[in-house]
Amino acid sequence: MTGENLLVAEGLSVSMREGETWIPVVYPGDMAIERGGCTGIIGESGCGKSMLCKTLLGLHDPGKWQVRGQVFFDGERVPIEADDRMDAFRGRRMSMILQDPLSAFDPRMTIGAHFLEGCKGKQKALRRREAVEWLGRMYMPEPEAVMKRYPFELSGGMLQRAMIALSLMGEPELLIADEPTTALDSTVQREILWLLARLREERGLSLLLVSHDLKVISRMADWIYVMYAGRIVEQGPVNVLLENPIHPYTKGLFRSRPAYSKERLTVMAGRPPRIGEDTGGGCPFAPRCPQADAACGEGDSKLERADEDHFVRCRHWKGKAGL
Amino acid sequence: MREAQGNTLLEVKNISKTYQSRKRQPVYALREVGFSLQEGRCLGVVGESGCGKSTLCRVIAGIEKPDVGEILYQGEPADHRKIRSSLQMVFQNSMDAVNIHLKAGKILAEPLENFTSLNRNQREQEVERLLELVGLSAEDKAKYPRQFSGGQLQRICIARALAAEPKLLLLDEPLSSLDVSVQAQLLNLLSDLKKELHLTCLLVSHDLEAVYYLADKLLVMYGGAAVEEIEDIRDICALTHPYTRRLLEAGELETESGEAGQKDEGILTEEKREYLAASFREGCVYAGHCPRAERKCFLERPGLVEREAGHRIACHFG
Ligand SMILES: Nc1ncnc2c1ncn2[C@@H]1O[C@H](COP(=O)(O)OP(=O)(O)O)[C@@H](O)[C@H]1O
Ligand SMILES: Nc1ncnc2c1ncn2[C@@H]1O[C@H](COP(=O)(O)OP(=O)(O)O)[C@@H](O)[C@H]1O
Ligand code: SF4
Ligand SMILES: [Mg+2]
Ligand SMILES: [Mg+2]
Repeated sequence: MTGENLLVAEGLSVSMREGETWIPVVYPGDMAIERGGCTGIIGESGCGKSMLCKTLLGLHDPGKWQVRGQVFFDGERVPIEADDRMDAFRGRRMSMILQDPLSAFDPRMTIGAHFLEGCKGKQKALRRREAVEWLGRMYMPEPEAVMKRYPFELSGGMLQRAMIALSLMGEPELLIADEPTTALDSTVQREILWLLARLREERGLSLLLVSHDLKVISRMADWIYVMYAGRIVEQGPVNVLLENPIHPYTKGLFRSRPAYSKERLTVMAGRPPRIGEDTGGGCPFAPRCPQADAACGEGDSKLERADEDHFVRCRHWKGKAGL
Repeated sequence: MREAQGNTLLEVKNISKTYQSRKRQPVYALREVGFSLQEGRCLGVVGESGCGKSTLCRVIAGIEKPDVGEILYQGEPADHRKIRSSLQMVFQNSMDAVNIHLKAGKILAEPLENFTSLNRNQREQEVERLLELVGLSAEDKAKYPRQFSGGQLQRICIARALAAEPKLLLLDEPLSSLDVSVQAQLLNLLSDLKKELHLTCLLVSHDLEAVYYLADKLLVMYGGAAVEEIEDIRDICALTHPYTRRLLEAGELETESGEAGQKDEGILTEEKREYLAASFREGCVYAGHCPRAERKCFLERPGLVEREAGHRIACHFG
């Protein structure tokens, strides 16, 4: 880690068009990704994690989505609003891998054809050699043979490795991994996570790792953003958050996970609000929150500094009398 | 180690099942798998994908016939036409398992029509009771599957399975596609139902911690074979099979270089692992990947034998 920020997002928000109005999906928030570090985003599904990642790469169709705010990469402004000017960033400086590797590949094309897309003539042989090299770096068994295979012929773990190789071909500095291991077995999951950690160590690759699995995030990340209903509700260094979570949502999320115990699980009842669902202007977590009182329903809280680099979005973060 | 107690409800005896692969190679989905399950207990079955867990469920449920082997239900060869209502199954992908054109009320009423003698009014009441039993509300009966979240739909599937008043519930990865918070809600629900209704369960999962929470005993599978079995899951740390150890260690991830060599090997052998899992061998199903394997392991298949009371293992050196 360097302590220096590779990517900075300021006041980034996403809204969805519904007729004449825009419905907020990701609320304005700031984010920083450290060079050489692994930044984690955690939260239940539907809370806007993928939306936020796509925004960093300018992947939103402006007809349907409205994006506000700025993104800076290595000090340079990223033209997330202009699809045609994103080529300098996408794949070259930052890349993204997805949860379901099978959906990222065209089933009619061999793995090799995916690597050669857009290549002509002499370029092809060179690119093929590079691809085999990259597959090898991903510990792919028999990379030459894999190039000739179709996506359905590979296991989930092998496909995920092929996707990582494909997204690293342009030697990007930042890899955005959106639930990269959610669909995989635990032993294969461990192999992929180990691979990502190794890429970080050996190539200085910076990671933005999204997961709803606390275990994955706590093992890999050094900084965590917790998202709920499109908002960043807590953020800080991983050890601080794990040892001293403050937001009731973060606490609830951490406690939900069984840990080789038969003791009854403390569950968070209910579910997150849906997009556009009326939360009465109050804290969106209030209906599920064990600490909520009347004040919580009367206006959303702001992200406040609880400690040097620990931020919380809960009006009762200092605790309440009697709690 | 503790031994099994109570009346045996289900006995699976030496079941084997072979499929044909696309390339017409035999796929040994189950190899001489056997275990017994006592009334009111929950057996957890773990192992990586493709190791035969779903096949095992389908064979027990009578959806498929084993090539060889026998299933005893309450001590007698299982006649699946007779025990259809006492044996119910819940699947991983609940959206695929329900008819999306039917309202929840209708989905739940179907098994009541098939398996009970309730009249129309009573069925209506029973549907509401079932919905509340799984933590939904009576009004939810008017909704279509698409109007439910994944977790709610899985509750509907559990309610539907319970409608037939089963004794044995087969749960095939019922939590895998759900959020951690929803998994916790369902784990508590299943734990309550198991106690209240005195259910006997078989829980398939690749999440060892979830299995630990709900199951009483554990069966570890690899390459279609049962490689280790323990009567009391609380003794999980005493498991010694090399594959089980690997599974237990997958819960931890260290990135220190010390362990790196070992992991490289794990990564390189994935394709081999799949190849091996699909082909018949005389030796141990795990020999191709086992750090402890010796010549004997490749030549002779170790049987599942009792190492001490309540602990069975299939390993020449375990
Ligand atoms: N293409 C889309 N059209 C409409 N709503 C969408 C679309 N994609 C995502 N959403 C909604 O936006 C919200 C945030 O989604 P997402 O960022 O995918 O959540 P996460 O990745 O945290 O699970 C969700 O409520 C989802 O239903
Ligand atoms: N209908 C089928 N035809 C051919 N092969 C099958 C069929 N069903 C399962 N298999 C194969 O049998 C093995 C065990 O599968 P399965 O029981 O689904 O494993 P699990 O549930 O543990 O992931 C796998 O190799 C799978 O590909
Ligand atoms: S029998 Fe041999 S190969 Fe199989 S698990 Fe034991 S030591 Fe490993
Ligand atoms: Mg997502
Ligand atoms: Mg299965």
